[in-house]
Amino acid sequence: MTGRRRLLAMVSVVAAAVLASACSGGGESSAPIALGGIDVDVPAEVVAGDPLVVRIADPLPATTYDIALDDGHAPDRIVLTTAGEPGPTLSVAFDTDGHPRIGRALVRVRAGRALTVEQTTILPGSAVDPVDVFVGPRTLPAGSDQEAMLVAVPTDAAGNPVSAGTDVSVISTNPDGSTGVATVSTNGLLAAQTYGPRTVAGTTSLGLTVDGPSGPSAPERSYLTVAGPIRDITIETPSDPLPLADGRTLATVRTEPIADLFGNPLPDGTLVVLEVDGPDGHRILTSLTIDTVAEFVIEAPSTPGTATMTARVGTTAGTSLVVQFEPAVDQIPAQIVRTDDATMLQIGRVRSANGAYVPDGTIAHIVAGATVIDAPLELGAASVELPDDTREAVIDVLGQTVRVAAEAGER
Amino acid sequence: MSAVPTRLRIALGLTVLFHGSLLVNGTFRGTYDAYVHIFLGDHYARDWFSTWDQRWYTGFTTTSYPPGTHQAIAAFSKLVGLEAAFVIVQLSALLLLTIGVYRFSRLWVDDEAAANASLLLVVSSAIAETVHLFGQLPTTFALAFLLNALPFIRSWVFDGRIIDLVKGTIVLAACTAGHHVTTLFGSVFFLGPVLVAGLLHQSRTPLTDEAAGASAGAVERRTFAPLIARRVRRVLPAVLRGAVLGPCILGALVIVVLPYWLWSSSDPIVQIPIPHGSRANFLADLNIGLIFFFLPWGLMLFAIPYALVRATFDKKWPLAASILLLFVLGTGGTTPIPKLLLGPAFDILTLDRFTFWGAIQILPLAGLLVTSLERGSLAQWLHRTGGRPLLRGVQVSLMSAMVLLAVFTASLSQFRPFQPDRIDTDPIVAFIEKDQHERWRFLTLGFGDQMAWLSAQTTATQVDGNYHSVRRLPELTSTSVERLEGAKYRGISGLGSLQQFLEVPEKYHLKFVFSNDAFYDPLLASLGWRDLGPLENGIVVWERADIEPLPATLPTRDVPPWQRVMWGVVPPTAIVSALVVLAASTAPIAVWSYRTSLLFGPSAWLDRRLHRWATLPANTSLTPNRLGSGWRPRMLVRFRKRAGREVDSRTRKRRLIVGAATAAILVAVSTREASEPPTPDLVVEAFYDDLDFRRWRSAYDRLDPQTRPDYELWRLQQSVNGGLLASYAKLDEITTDVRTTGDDTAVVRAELRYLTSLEWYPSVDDVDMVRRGDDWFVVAEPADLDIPPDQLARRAGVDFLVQGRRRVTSATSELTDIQDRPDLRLDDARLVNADGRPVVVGMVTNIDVDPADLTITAILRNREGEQIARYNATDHLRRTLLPRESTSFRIDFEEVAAGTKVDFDPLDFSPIEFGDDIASVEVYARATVTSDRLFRGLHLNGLDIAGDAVAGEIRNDGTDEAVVAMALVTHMDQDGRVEWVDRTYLADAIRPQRSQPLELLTQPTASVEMTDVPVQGFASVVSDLLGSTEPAPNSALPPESLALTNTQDEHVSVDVIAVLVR
Repeated sequence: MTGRRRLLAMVSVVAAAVLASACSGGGESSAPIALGGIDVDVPAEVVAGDPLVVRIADPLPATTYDIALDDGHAPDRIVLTTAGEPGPTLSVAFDTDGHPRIGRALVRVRAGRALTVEQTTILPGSAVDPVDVFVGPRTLPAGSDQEAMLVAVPTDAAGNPVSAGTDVSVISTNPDGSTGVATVSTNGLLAAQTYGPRTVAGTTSLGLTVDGPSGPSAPERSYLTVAGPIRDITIETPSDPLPLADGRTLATVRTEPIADLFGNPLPDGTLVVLEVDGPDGHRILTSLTIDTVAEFVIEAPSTPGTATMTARVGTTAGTSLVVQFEPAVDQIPAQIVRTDDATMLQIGRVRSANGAYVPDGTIAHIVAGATVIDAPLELGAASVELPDDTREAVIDVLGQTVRVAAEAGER
Repeated sequence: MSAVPTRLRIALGLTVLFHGSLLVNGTFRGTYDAYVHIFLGDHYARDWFSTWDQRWYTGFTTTSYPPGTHQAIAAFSKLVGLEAAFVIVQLSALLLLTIGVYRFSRLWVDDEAAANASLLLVVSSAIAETVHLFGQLPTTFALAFLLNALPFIRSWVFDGRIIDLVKGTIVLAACTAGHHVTTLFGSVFFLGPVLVAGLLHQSRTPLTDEAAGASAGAVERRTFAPLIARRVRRVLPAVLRGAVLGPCILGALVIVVLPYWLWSSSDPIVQIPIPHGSRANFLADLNIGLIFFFLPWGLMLFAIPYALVRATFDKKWPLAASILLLFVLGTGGTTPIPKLLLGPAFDILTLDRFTFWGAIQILPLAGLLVTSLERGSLAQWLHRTGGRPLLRGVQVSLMSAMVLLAVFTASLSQFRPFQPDRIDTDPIVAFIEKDQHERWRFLTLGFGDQMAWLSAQTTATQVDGNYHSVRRLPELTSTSVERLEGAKYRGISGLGSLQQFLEVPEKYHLKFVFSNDAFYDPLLASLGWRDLGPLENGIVVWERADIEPLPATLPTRDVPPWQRVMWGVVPPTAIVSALVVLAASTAPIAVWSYRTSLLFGPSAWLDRRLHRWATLPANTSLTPNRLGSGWRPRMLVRFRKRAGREVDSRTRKRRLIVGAATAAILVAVSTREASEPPTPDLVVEAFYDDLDFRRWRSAYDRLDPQTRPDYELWRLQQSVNGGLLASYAKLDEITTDVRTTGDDTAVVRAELRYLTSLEWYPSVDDVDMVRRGDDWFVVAEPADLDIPPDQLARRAGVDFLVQGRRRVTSATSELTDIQDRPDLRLDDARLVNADGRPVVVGMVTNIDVDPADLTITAILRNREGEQIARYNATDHLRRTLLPRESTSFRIDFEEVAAGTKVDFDPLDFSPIEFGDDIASVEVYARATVTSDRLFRGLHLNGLDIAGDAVAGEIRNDGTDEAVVAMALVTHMDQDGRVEWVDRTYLADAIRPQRSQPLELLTQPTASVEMTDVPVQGFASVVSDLLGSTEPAPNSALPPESLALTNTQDEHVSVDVIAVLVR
């Protein structure tokens, strides 16, 4: 136990010594510092990138000078000791390339207990290539009140924004071939110029230079003027005769070329909606413009009659077109046959106008009293079992209706 | 330890041969847990002293699980890789467990039976299941140390060697390092019986200074107190040593994983319990019962009666009681007893662990049974009853059954997979590492536990994880869904939880989904995820546009440095020390140890006092001590006598005939019911079940043989029917009702409920049935006769390519590469009160020339400007807009879960209530340029309104199939302002150039009230509508021809959207 106590005592002594040493501040003298004792010459301004020369007049011999440039971000420090004999003016230069922050900076010179502090200002340098340029939004509808803005951020070699008032010239080349030059000055960090939409759709390219035509530049930027409000949409009258109302045959309907109020064609891929109000209800079809024309493939209605077609782009509806779909079926042969087992309705063979059977799968809609049956026709015919007490059946095929009475007699 | 018995050597060899070869062949890859432990092993391999892993759940602490096994994997992985390291550690644990079972059994039975027990362990179905089906490593690892610790502890308590206390504590510490729960419950179920049985034995063993060789003949009033004092004096030293043992066990339990306990107390698990099959009623669900009860017990079930009787009458009743308790606890929800005994812990614990421990604990007694069957009384009885053939037959049958059951169990996952097929993760890892994709989070779907293996190979993070105890995101803890990646197995609840992440992915920086299950395709597509196509391993990558990457530095919640050091040092030290102790125990090295009775000081005084109290009165009648003689029931004695008696051949034959007849009757009774012809409704149910499980031949056989097409044609007809129900749904429920029935015909109404990734989908089918002979058949649907008119359809289109201006560069992004956002005009937006819920509806138009991929977000604020809720439009909108295209949208504010008492169900959730505190609304519409999901081939034909329904047809005029289509119904007021938006998914696909019928209700699905809460819109252009009640002239209102009018004089606009196109 005695040994342990001794060890504890020794550790305590060592710890106390270390603590006392730490608190003493490294043995520096605590005497007060005298301000202004050194004759220092610092330029009032220096451009970023140029050396900042600090001159000390009448330096003391065999003295250590601690010179620091503090821009509040990353201080630089030079320490040098003069020779044993009195010498000429002491001169040191700081490299300002490494100082990303422009603005006020302090130069502190210290020798022993003497300290002098001087102030200088680091100015931004001239702009360098490339200049950061942003343009947005990229598209403007022709004739709208929207604007695109070009923003340029010229910087010096150290990445500092250039001085306010630096000229930025923007040359715009418009879709119609005309050009324009706008000169704006930087304010704060950047220069900005707005461009309204034009009436001619196309690309407006933008190029710029800073500080004159031979100054730093940037890659070309652009924005698009696109077709604006639609002028009118008309549907081309079909050159081929429309199909019969067989509910199956397809017909092609096209719009006339679609343009905006200024005559700009609609770009490819614009959605066009075709609304059809026909004999079998409403239809809504969609298509895309290709070469300013939208093409729709429309299925013939299953009921004959007139149909009104209207094309629409966004909120703009065009001029309607009225067309007629003729009946596909003239006659529906059918009979009700009673056998020992059942009462059968035999339909067919139903033919279309050209003498061929109506397409397989065409529905014969049958109403026999309270019984309603949809029977698909195959090779123009179908056979359907009806309730035993059926006296009459009404058959509808593609809008044509026939009424069939049961044969007399009982099963 | 004395010489190693031959059978133990054989057991060790068989362990290597059987389990080792299976592990090397990769059975662990199809297990539930192996990859989780490998993932955690990878964590320590990357940074041994790290306690925070960013890869799962947006970060979790690894002090939440004892690190022993994972650190062992990490250590070996440096030499052989992660998977091989797992095999080494698991096999080592099994070898140690085999020795442990032998050592544990020696505490209860003789050497031969103990060696038999170790042999039985090798072919134990419980071990086979735990290792090769469940992939549990900490369980086997920790149990191995626990069983090996028990002889030391028993030796300390009853022999008093301090070195045994040290050894026992060290080995228990290793047990804790592997799995703290094993130490905790093992102390009760394994150590408890050992100590109780030892104390009972001790209490019956006279001390050397007692009256030699005699005990009191009968308990009388005057001898009662001395006899009690004598018993107390006999067990006093053991009790005192037991008291010393307690703190040691506690220390081993607490100190080794101290950071775990600190985490556990500071960050308690508060989450909805996750259902586990082990808590189910095994009789109600026999499949679950098979996995969690019958399979682990295996043939030991038949040994239980023998074990209980034998243990009870051989003074091993504490062991029998423990086995019985474990048996009962392992029955889960089959009986109410486990819930009564465990209380709230019932919903947290996985009760199959009790069954596993029970199946291990019975091994010593099963070892006795083997001895008895080999040459004991059972063998004699069999020999007398059926001669040598019967004896050998029973022996070989039981042995074969054990081996076959173990092989069956170990290979069960091979022929009935519990996990998806093995996924080659290399292409996924390559994708993640390419183009800095690891800067976003990802999610896996349909990976099973292989998601952990994927995570182990990358530093990329995901929102999901495979270790649910450490989940902290409320979106996860408020549901009973264990993993998002298997959300469909939890039905709508699981899918609802998954949707919360997919709908607002920017909240989690979730950009990529790797899908191994097409079931989720409709959900992903409807929520705006883009299918990038499959990788070379078949995994489909889905991407979501407009998601910000993760910040460079993610927040961590690391524990203090001293805990990290402790976590990295103490558990492995405990394991290595335990291995040294166990190795030294087998070596013939004499270790001196101080033997203590602890009877000094006050204890010695107490002993002297007890000795004095234990002195029997002088005239007490004494009888010889009955030490070692056990109480035997008459039945047992009689059986043993009869077992040795000769049986004549006639009796033997009679017994064999009776046995065979009994078996035949049982088989006949069980097969009789199956031969009854099924009723029409049962046939319909079986038919839909066959269709659901793609048992095509079986389904075809249920079709009317006289009218069905041939099989090939029928299969062809089935194959062209795609869509949400046919391709992406799972039949969840079917109820049938026989509507009409004649002698030979019937109509069965089948009400079906399908689970899709989008919603429940109800369907009602009237199925025509016909009887042929005694059997009912389904009448096949007539074939579709419709043929498109054109043999070759050609459609012009416009292709877009989003290529940016990227050079071939390794830079993250370039200014010139950034796409401009398409201009959007927010035409309308308003807050409505729908059934008491705040909902934002509106309309937006793409006024740009580029196709736009939309994200519309709404924020509700209170009067103080604080955000109440924020959510995106999910699937109530057209996600991509072509130039000049508009869509209505609806935003429901679906906040996290309903509450803590109920599970989350998106169909029955309790979102934010509408109240006065909503003072303003902000709606943000933004978009990125897209070149995908621009299919516009769906047209509406013959649309007509009748009453409250719109009927018509959707025609697909395109050249692609619209696999999943959606109808968006927009309700507008007289001014054309949006009042409500509904959507309906169509059940069937729409093949190109074909049509599908459409029928929709025009009444809003909610009771909607307009509000005057101001809405502020943020988009390129915002309509004046948002600031006034008057319609603006430039608003994108649908024209009159589009708008139908329903019975409430509302305009109803219908839009059909191809959600998923192939």
